[in-house]
Amino acid sequence: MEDYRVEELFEMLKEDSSWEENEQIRIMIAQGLKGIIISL
Amino acid sequence: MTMPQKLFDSRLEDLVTTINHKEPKRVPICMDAISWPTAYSGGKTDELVDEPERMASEYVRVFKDIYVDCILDPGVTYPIRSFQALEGKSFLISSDGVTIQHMMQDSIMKENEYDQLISDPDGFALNVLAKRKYDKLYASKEEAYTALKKAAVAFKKHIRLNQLIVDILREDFGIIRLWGDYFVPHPFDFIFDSLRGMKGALIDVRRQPEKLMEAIEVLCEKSMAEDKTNFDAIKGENWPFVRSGFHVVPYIGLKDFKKFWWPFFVKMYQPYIDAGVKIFLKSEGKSGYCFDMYRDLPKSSMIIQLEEDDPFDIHRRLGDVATIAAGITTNLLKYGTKQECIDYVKRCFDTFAPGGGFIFLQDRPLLCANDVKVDNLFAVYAFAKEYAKY
Repeated sequence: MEDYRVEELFEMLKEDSSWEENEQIRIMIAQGLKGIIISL
Repeated sequence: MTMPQKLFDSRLEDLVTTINHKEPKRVPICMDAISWPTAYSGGKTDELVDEPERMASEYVRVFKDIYVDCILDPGVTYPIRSFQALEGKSFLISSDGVTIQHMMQDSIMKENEYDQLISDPDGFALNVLAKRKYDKLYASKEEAYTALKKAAVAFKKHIRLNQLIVDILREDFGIIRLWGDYFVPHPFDFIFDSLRGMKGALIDVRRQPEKLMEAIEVLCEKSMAEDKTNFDAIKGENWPFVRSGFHVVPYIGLKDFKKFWWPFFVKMYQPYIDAGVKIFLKSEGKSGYCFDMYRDLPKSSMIIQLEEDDPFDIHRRLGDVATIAAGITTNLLKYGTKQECIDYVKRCFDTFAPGGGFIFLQDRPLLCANDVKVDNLFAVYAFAKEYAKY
């Protein structure tokens, strides 16, 4: 399996406007989702 | 000012009065309901969750039929579509199509991995543990990213849905959501719920207490460092409440509570107490052994919802310093007669209401259609509405 850190995926998510144009919303959603993935 | 806004303001005034141990005009009539409102409307979470407007309008329908001043934390608790996109194993929608079930009480983290957790909590949780919980995060980078993007889109929709529900409840019904967005997870609960599971965490208390303690200390510091709450901005605002859970507490004794729980609880919640924000403790199971410790906090710092502990006993021990959130049990609502339910509610009001420090609330959240007899629930809330006047 390809070795990568999940953290990298979240960084990509923050930069990627293809799923959400607004950068602030992208950052907020990515942070929230990261918290959920860590805690649940 | 609109009628719902007037209602909201007067309800808030009563709420803030009673939690400060003064008698309000009326006892706040509260409900702890998660997915039950969807079941009541005949809807299915599984069918509605992708359409926030439709789901929100189904969810609030019950509040046209029943009188409620406040609701604890309405909406869809877990972002189920995000979990599904990542092929998570922890949550699923039950066969009723309504209730989201938490499946896992498992040791995702191994007993010999405390050092990794302690040295890099987020990195370990995200890069190692998350891959064990979510199958898609164990796939190729491209596949994992595609799934994560899908999860993010679903998460955005989830936030929108819950905000819509809260807004409609406030703007159309004047109903107050009790909990705020503040969340201070106790590190021991996090280890118990999400890392080591019930069995693993309780074994660690005995076999490796030093490692457990070190992990709790590190997670506590991290949580406090990451808390971005502007305490100056919220100073003196008693509402909304900061939520506090209680998952591991029923399974440990007073000695371990004093060691692993209490000092960290006080440390993490002290800034909220200093700012005047009230702590809502959703106690779970039977945890009566520890409640006397809460007498050490300033008067009127807390609101306590009791699950299996006797509210009359806890009120005797703590009622002069903490607000008791009680008044009816889901067991009685499901198995009792209408009269038995009303007699119990009346006894609660007569005991807890004098002097303030009381909000009417069930012991457990309403989840499924058959959690209660609807006739009992409606009779109880109709009685409580009338009996709430001081």
